[in-house]
Amino acid sequence: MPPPRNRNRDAPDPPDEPSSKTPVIEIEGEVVDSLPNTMFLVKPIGPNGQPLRIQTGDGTEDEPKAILAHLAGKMRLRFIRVGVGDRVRMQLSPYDLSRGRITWRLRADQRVER
Amino acid sequence: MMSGSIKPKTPAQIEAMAASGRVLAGALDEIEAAVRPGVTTGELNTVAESFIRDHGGIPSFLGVPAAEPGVKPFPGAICASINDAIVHGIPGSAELREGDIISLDCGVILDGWHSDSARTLAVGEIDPDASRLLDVTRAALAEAIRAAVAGGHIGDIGAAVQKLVEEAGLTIVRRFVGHGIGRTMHESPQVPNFGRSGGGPALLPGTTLAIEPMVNIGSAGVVFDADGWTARTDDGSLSAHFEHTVAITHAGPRVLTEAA
Repeated sequence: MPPPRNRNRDAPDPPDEPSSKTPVIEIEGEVVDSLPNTMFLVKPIGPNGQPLRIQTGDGTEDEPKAILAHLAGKMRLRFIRVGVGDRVRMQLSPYDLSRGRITWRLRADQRVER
Repeated sequence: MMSGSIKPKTPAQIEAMAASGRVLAGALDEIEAAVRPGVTTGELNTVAESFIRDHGGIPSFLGVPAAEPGVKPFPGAICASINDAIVHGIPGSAELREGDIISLDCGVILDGWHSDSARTLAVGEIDPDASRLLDVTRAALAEAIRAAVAGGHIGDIGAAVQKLVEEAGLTIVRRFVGHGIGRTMHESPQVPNFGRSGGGPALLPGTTLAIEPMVNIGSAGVVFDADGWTARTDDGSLSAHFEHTVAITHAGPRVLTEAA
């Protein structure tokens, strides 16, 4: 006689149910300025390693402005030093594309691999 | 109902549970022989209850308290769940018809030790889809038992069921789970019929589990009858249920609910 399932530590949750985390946009960029309070200005870089081009409303292409990004908490805890010229990976909220969170500093040999 | 730690059983206690399981297997064989078109689930209940009492056991399902408040304790010695009923069908005036499938679930207490087992049977000739459902569910139980080895984990059992059932294009009922069993019918741990290999509590020698895959042809959704017990598929598709009480031993899994 099967009892109803309790969602407790005994019952592992189904692995195939996707979690509903806040969506993030992950892009790479190059640090162009180091600001106080571990903030940086980061210029987005496209998948080809060239500066990212974006389509503007009137059909022409433009380079996006540098994004104001802070260092993710985990990177601060681990004292990951980020300086001008470094390649970094950052996450943007789809709701505010002008600010980002740096989540990764890429080593020179990592570059843009995606 | 299902809190607390997993209580491994001694070899002597496992023997006592196997004795309980033999009575249960006999009762299930007895009602299996009585299944035919025209018989009512109430009649099957009577057959099972008298067999169990004649062999010194107590039908453990009688009086099981409901999980939901306001629902009366379970009134039968067996759960008789026809066609789209998944589990917990109350035996009564419902008559079996040619082409039905019926899940019969029963439990015995003998000398204080519980056993719990279920099988789904065809009433006369059934259509090929139904027949395949029974085959897959039976095979899923066999796979699950094979996965129940000392040194493994609860998740291995669920993963084995999930793989086989999903590869067959059928769905697993997640609302109900298998369970530890021993001095009481429902003990820790829960034994879900899905999961990740290596997940969940470790399986130690002496752990006794009621492993019970419940498989549907269509949706995995569950709806309840007004009686508060009978659980049905929410799309009316057929559902099957096979169960054995199994002991994990150094020599591998041992099915306790088998006839001598």
